[in-house]
Amino acid sequence: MDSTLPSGPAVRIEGLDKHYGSFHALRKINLSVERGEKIVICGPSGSGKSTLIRCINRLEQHDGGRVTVLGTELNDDVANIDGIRREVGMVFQHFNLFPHMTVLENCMIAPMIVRKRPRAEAETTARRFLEKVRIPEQAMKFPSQLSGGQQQRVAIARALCMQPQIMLFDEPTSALDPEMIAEVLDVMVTLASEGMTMICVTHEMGFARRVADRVIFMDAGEIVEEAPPEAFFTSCRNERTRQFLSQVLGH
Amino acid sequence: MVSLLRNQKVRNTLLQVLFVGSLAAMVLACVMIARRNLAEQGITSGFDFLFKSTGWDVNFSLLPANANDPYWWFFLIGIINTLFLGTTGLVLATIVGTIVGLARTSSNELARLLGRTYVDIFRNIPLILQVFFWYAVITHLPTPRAAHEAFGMLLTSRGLYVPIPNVGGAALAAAMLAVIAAIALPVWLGRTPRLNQPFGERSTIQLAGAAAALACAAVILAVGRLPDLPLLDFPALQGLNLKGGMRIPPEFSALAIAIAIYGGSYIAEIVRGGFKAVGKGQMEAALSLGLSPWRVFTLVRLPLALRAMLPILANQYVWLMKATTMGIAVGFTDFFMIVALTINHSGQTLEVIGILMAGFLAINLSLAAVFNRINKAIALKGNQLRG
Ligand SMILES: Nc1ncnc2c1ncn2[C@@H]1O[C@H](COP(=O)(O)OP(=O)(O)OP(=O)(O)O)[C@@H](O)[C@H]1O
Ligand SMILES: [Mg+2]
Repeated sequence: MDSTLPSGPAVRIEGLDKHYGSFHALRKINLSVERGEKIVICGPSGSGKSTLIRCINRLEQHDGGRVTVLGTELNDDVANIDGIRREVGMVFQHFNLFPHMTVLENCMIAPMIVRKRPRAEAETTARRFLEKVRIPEQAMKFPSQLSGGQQQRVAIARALCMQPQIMLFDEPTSALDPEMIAEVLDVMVTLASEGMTMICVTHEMGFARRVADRVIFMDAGEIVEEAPPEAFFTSCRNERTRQFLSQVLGH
Repeated sequence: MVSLLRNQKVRNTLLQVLFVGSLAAMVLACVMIARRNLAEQGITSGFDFLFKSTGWDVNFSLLPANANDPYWWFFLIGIINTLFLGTTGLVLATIVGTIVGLARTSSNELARLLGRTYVDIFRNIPLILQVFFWYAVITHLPTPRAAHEAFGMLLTSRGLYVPIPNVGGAALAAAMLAVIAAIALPVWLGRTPRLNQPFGERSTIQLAGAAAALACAAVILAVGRLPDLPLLDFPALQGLNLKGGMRIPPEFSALAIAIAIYGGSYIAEIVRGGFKAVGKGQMEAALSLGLSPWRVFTLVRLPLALRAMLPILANQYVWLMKATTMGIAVGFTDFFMIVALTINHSGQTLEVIGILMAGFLAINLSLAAVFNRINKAIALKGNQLRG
């Protein structure tokens, strides 16, 4: 959207290290995501998937290596962090909507305050994205009056209203009942087809097969395997990957 | 018949009837015994005494008072004194509690330690001891001739002398109401569904409401102003005495400080609990949208914490309001002390106790009603809450 932004990868991660106390959560991660690319990250629980994508918008602070997002390196510079968070949307496992605001207000608050959009414009944008995630009729309701699937779609709309260049998803369907998973995945597929840069932590392998350019498998804080979906599912080299796949695919 | 007794509804009704019946019998017995005893002592019961003059004086009153005034006027003075002390104490306690509570949730280790020490100390010293302590401190301040001065106020062992506007009492009260309206009106205008404007597009209306109320206050002050005097009356030393301004007696200050500090330690815990109840997820979501930490605090953390705090806070306020009855320990003429003095002088114990209970019931029920209303207005809607 912003033509003054330098070209180059959307996200570049070099030698990323992250500790929680003495626990080594991420070990020398290298990952580069091109603009428009769709990445799916999977791996067993506790392998560091959330930690990794949370380092991209500095919800977690890394302690080694470099993270560069849209040409700006993430460091202690607060202006850099604010600038990057504006351009990177995030969707959480538990939706994390603001329960004291209506759906519409949830979607308008950040554009109005961070992007300084006038109210009318923010509302038009919000309604447009609510339409896109197929719940325009819920605009005046409060989050907890909606089903889980609807709440997650509001969360996606809320992030999109900031018109970000990159979207991060952290297990967006894990807290949902099966029939609601499809409605959220549909929205994500549409988004992918429109060229959004997406980094998704998910165990929805059908989704990975359909939209991912690359699937990444993590274990114990490391990237173990990285391949296009076809290759990933048919001919993965690593034993741990194979084990994991047989579990999630139910073979 | 036996099967009828097994019926749940019949049983419940029977129990109710039994309970209410025995309660009524007990009350009736008490009243009859009391009447007989009073008659034997030659005391006539009834509320006629309310219109007799008291023959004694009060040491602090926001309304004009002297020994010729009737009892009902003194009760009114007592209730106003209680409300004045209670409101001052509650406001101060809330300020103290918010600061200490925030310190306890802060990421700064020293702030957390200080906050914890504060709560541990002041929550565990009985209120009455704290009242005596502050009373002793204040009555040992310098004499009027050596008074400390700050912002036009004089700090002395005889009390705190503050400047007051040279405005008639009624006009002053009306102006105060107008100022309160100037604060409350915008809040109400922003939330009421009765206005046609969409929520959030009402800042003009809200501003107009506040401005109108403030203008009212200004007009009232201008009209009610006493002629030929400066707008503010400053206290000053004249000879051996302090003249002018208003004297806040040491009893009042000691009580207000004690309630602020003691109540603050309880409110601090409520504030801390409220902030801890806010999910980390909502704050992370707000941060990830690019909102600054300050905006995250004012738009997400504070509003959600307030909703968690308010019901418990209301209980605490009711409780602190009752703590004003400590006035009798240092001789502040609050409602309870007026009641105690009235019992001594008039002998109408039962009637006066009745008035005392009705008074506190009215004060605390109104407080509770206001808070219930606020709670309802801001309650989170729906039941599918997650995260
Ligand atoms: N705030 C924290 N403090 C200490 N340890 C943490 C913290 N957050 C995460 N960890 C640890 O870091 C490791 C990686 O956590 P992370 O949440 O990234 O895993 P994950 O791959 O997302 O797992 P899941 O699939 O269960 O969400 C885990 O072992 C976890 O216990
Ligand atoms: Mg995770």
